[in-house]
Amino acid sequence: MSNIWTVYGTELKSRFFIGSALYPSPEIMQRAIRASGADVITLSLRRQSPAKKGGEQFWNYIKDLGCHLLPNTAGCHSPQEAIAIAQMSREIFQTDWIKLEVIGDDYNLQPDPFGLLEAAEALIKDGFKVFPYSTDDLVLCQRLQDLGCEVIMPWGSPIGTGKGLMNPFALSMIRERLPDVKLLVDAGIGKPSDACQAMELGYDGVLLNTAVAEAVDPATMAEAFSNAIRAGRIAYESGIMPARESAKPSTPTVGAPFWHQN
Amino acid sequence: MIQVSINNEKQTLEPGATVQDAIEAIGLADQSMLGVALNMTFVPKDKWEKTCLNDNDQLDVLRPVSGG
Repeated sequence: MSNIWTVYGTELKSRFFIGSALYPSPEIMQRAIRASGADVITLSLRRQSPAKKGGEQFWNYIKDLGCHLLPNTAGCHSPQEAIAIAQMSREIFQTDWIKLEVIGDDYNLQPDPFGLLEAAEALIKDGFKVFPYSTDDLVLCQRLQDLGCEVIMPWGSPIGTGKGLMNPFALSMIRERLPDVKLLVDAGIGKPSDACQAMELGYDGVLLNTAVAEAVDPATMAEAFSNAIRAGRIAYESGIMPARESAKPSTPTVGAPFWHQN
Repeated sequence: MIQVSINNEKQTLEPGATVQDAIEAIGLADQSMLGVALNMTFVPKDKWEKTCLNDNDQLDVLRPVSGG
């Protein structure tokens, strides 16, 4: 069973995409990302005041990790903002990958499906390889595929909630209806079992941040997630038995002892 | 003189000042990892010296930060 898979033509070993935010320190971030075994790290751009040197230090820690970079457009509320951030990210990070976020509701940090489609279309025309952060709406995901997204990342639940997969049925339906798209559950994962569940549904990967960064021991939690993601994938590839409504004995009934004999 | 908002702070610059002048005016010495948008439109690095600013322009100068 090969561990290699591809995303927009790039070969990856791990199915774990990890965020670089919210860690207690940059050193702990580095340890956790290394322990995760992730090949892909998400990061962002923000205004930087001249007085603060944090941006340069952060970048040095990221460079040391040697991972593929997936810059995001977090915090953007319009296609225009997201497009500008994507173009700046491409120049700075020298990658045409972009995790596209266009937020429609600040309370839920819920993606704006209309803005997402508009921005995705413009960015794909501009040569970007778009990783859209979407809701679990099947039709939205179909439209994103139609535009040329080879990867789609529906939410499990709202960002940072740790509620796991709110709607496994919707996620399964997307998997079933879009067999050729690389699907990652992005956001809302709280426990390794949530990540394992996503992989058992046939998702190609998981993107998460808070559940590792806010663990008491982030590096060990990263390892736990790595194992869960791998277990879920192996289970999916091995063929999970269908659930039944009634019991079926696992021990053979033929040759059962005397109390079953008339 | 013209007034330009750089990262949401007002700066007074000479008429004809460019994006490059504005970045230098706020003292960002290391420019290797900066991205710039003028009025929410991306300005590539090779255009910084040729792009002139106008009164009331909004310039965003961004650096890498952590993200999820």
